[in-house]
Amino acid sequence: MRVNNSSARRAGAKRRTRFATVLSVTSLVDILSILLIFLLMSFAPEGAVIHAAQDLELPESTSPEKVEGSDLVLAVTERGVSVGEHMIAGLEDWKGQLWIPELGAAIGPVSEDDPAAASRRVLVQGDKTIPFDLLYAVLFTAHQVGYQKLALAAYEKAPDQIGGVQ
Amino acid sequence: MRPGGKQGRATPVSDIDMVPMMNLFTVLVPVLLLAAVFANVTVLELQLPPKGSGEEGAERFVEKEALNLMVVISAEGITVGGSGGFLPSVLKTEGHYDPNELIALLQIVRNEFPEEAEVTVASEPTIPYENVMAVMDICRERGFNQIALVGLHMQPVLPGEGA
Repeated sequence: MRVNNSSARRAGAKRRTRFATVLSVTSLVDILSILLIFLLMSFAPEGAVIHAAQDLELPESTSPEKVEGSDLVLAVTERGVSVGEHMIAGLEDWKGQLWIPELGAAIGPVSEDDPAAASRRVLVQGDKTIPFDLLYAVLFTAHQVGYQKLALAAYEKAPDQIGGVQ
Repeated sequence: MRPGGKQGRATPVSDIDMVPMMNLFTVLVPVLLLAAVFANVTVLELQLPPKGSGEEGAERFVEKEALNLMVVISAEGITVGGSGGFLPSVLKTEGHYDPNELIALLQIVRNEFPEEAEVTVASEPTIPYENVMAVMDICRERGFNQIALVGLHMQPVLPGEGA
């Protein structure tokens, strides 16, 4: 160890005396310009952006519709229903019923005198592994408390070669 | 930089000063990285049977002299049917459905009824959401845009006095 250190130091000292090294930034600039172009291309200024909730993977869809800023976004996993980071209805007691009382109390009821609230779209972000009855219970509950427009969120997928869009 | 720049021409290689550019890039890259959207989220709109369902909803469904196209997803397979009858089912092979068979069936319906846009997708409780979404997506791609979702064999517990 000691021998190595001293020899390295000696070599370093020799170099230091001879050259004033200039940091070559050309390669760094190359990488950064490519990265910059890539990021500029993936930059999407239009449409609202929703952040996927944790522990949740959406299914895929080729639907061309976009998220609206006014959407009420519900994230559904096996553990419960949440809005943003807040869990609004746990599913420990849920046994497959259509009506989820905690969820109904948290998001509703929507008064019919308030057209803005009733016409608000409920966007359900469901994990792709949840059973259909849970998804349907969430949709049913939202519908029952007065929300008329319902929608499901999915990751965008390019249309299939076989399927195609007619 | 030096006064008397003309004399400086004697050194043939001169580097461009990249430092300001680097400064700009190092700021821009994190900003764009934070703003970048790598997975775009799309939205699929759907309807549920009308509120209060039961008789009212059923009447509305039957009254119409329409196709009433229905796609039923069960543990065994997918069945496409309408007012006129049922098409042969798409059965599970090796644990999963073949989407091409469903596409072919819907194409038959599409050829018969070019104007039809409504479809009812019904599913059993245990079917994973991913499969239901895949079926709805196939329907949408074939031009059946107005999707109504119906649950089969659900436990009907209606809201109590709270709602």
